[in-house]
Amino acid sequence: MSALAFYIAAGIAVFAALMVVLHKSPAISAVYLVLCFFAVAANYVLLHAHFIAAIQILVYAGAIMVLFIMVIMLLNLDQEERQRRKFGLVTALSIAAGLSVALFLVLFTWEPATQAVAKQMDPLTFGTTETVGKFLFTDYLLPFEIASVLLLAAILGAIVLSRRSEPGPGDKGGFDA
Amino acid sequence: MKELLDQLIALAVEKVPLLGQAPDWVFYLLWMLVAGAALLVYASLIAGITSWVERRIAGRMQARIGPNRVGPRGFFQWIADGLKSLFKEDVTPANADKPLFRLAPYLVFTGMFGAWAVLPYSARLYAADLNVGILYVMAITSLVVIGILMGGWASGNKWGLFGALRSSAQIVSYEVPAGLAIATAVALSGSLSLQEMVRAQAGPLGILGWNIFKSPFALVAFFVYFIAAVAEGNRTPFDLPEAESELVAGYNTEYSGMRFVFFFFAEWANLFLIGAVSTTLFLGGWQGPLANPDTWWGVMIGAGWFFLKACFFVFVLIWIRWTLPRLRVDQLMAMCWKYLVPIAFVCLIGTMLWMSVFGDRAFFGLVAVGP
Repeated sequence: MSALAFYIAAGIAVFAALMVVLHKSPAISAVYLVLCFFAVAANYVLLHAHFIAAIQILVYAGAIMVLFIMVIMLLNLDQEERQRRKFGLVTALSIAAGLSVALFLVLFTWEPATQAVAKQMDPLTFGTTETVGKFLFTDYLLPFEIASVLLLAAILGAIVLSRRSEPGPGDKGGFDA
Repeated sequence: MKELLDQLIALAVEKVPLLGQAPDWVFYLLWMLVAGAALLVYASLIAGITSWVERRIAGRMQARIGPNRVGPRGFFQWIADGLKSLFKEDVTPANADKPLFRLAPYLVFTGMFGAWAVLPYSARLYAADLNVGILYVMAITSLVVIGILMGGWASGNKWGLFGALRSSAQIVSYEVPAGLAIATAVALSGSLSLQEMVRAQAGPLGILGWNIFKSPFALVAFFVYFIAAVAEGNRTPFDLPEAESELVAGYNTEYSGMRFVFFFFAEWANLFLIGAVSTTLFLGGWQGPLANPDTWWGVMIGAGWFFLKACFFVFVLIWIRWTLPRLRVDQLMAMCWKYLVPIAFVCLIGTMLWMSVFGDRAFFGLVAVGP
């Protein structure tokens, strides 16, 4: 049963991912991306990683929204604009094939440390918030903190880039009660 | 609930041939279908009746009558309106992005309705008890804003687009204080599962253990959450996405017939959802005098408490809507980022400090609870 559910969810994920790149309308591509994220989240649930599944949807739903706004604001959906290709089909396909081969080589030959840890753990508590939190704040504290510093830098960068000139004296720019 | 279910399954296996040999997932699937159908009926009834209640209360508050013709005191008005909308023409604008325009109401509806699956209606009365319950609620309701953004943009209408953009800015901003306030409640309860969160709020009289009484910071966090939830639900005073006086009807301007009803169904069902989640996080869920998870009548009383508390919030939301004027866009953003977010941070850190001093003691540290 769970194998069947996996194939259904994985099939939807692959189909949606293909449609993201193949569909002509960027807005509809964004919607297929939502579908893809949901299918991947379903696979996380099948792996008992409920926490990751919920976070996946929570984080990427916001990301999709921003993507959608980018589509609205930055692309004016001209027909000519949609047809233009930067790469030829052959180039694109060969890059994709090369990346896939590299990915499969990595997946089949290299067993990361995390996988060894996962094998020792109780499959029932494996993906719970408690376990994920415990590992993040003990064994993987350094990568976790480095990632958070990176995110902080990105947030500050966004603020600096999007900030307009200094507000003038007449501009309260705020909430007057 | 479980015992009743087991008896029903035993009866079904006895009566229906070949069902005894069916694998487990068949029962699981059937159970999901039954629970989903029951919840859908429940949500529809609540959304429909809320629409009538809201219009009656609005009439009262504005010194007019409100709908009073269909049935006693106009009670069947919502059925009449639903039927009318069902038979109306479903217009798709000529320059709309058709697939997205058609899909959007379903996303809004699914996102709102999906959250009902984990609500703790009572101790043993729920469709699913996920161990990431509250995260699931936040995740699935984020579909609503994708639907709104999609519908507003796909309408090919400037009012729709304005409404959609406002809605996304508003919801992205208010997710932050809402999430922090939810984290406060999670810290107090020690779990993300909605059932566990309610269980952790047991206390004397069934009232003193509620999260809002655990620490003064939690009391403030409750109001932060409630304000943010009103903003995320696009209700007045935060209804900028559909501000009638400036944007015609905002993101749903171009919708008609049943698709329009989907949007409004989601809005009214969302009132109960806001009430239910606020209740679960801060007001003890089904905890209350005489509520007891171990006896069937205690469970029923618990269900009553949950329903009453959620309905109280529905009334407060309606009351606010017909009392307060709408904010400006800049006021809305300033209130979120300059006031609610810092307050929510103080609440979260304050609650943690409070817990390290008073531990699990309830009612502002005065009453000892638990074993």
